[in-house]
Amino acid sequence: MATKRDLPADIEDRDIAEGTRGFALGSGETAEQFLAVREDMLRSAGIEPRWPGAAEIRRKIEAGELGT
Amino acid sequence: MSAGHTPPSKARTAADNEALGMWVPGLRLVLINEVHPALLSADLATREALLTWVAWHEWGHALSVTSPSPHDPSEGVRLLALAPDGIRERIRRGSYRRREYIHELIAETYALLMRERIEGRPGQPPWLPNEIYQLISRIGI
Repeated sequence: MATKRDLPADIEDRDIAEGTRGFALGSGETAEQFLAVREDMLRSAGIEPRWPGAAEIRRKIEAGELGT
Repeated sequence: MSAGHTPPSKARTAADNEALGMWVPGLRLVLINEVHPALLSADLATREALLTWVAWHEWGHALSVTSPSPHDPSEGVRLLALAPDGIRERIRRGSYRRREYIHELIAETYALLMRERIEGRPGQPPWLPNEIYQLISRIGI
């Protein structure tokens, strides 16, 4: 495994440029449709999909339940 | 646009305007457009879920690009073929260049793994191939 120092500078710069495209839904795709694709994937893996709300995430962070 | 910087292309500006969120390396910040029409038109639960997803996805990009253990972009095509359907098909439909596949794969997988951690299931999930899990592990989840 190469380290970052081993890579030519131009590769790092190019990767940074390519890795920073904004996140967008597909053309005509709704938020519900986007999440449904992930729910289908989780169900196919035997996991019942559930999306944690902001309050739940905040509570778990503040309780230290998510580790570091 | 900032002094001393080349202005973005019209296509890049248009794409940025459509984005719900993005990581800005120069600022080391994730920006999220909370008034994006896709968020405003969604119900509260969907909005929270999507906002969470965007934040994790973009943070995955930040970790990916700044990782001290960088990954070979040319591996993206091969690794994407191993990915779960829901991740693979979205990236393939997204008009990304092949060199961008690995960044999107990391960002999407990172978001899913963060969701699993919130659900109390840290570690490698059964739906994720070991090679992709190891890739994500090296960047810091």
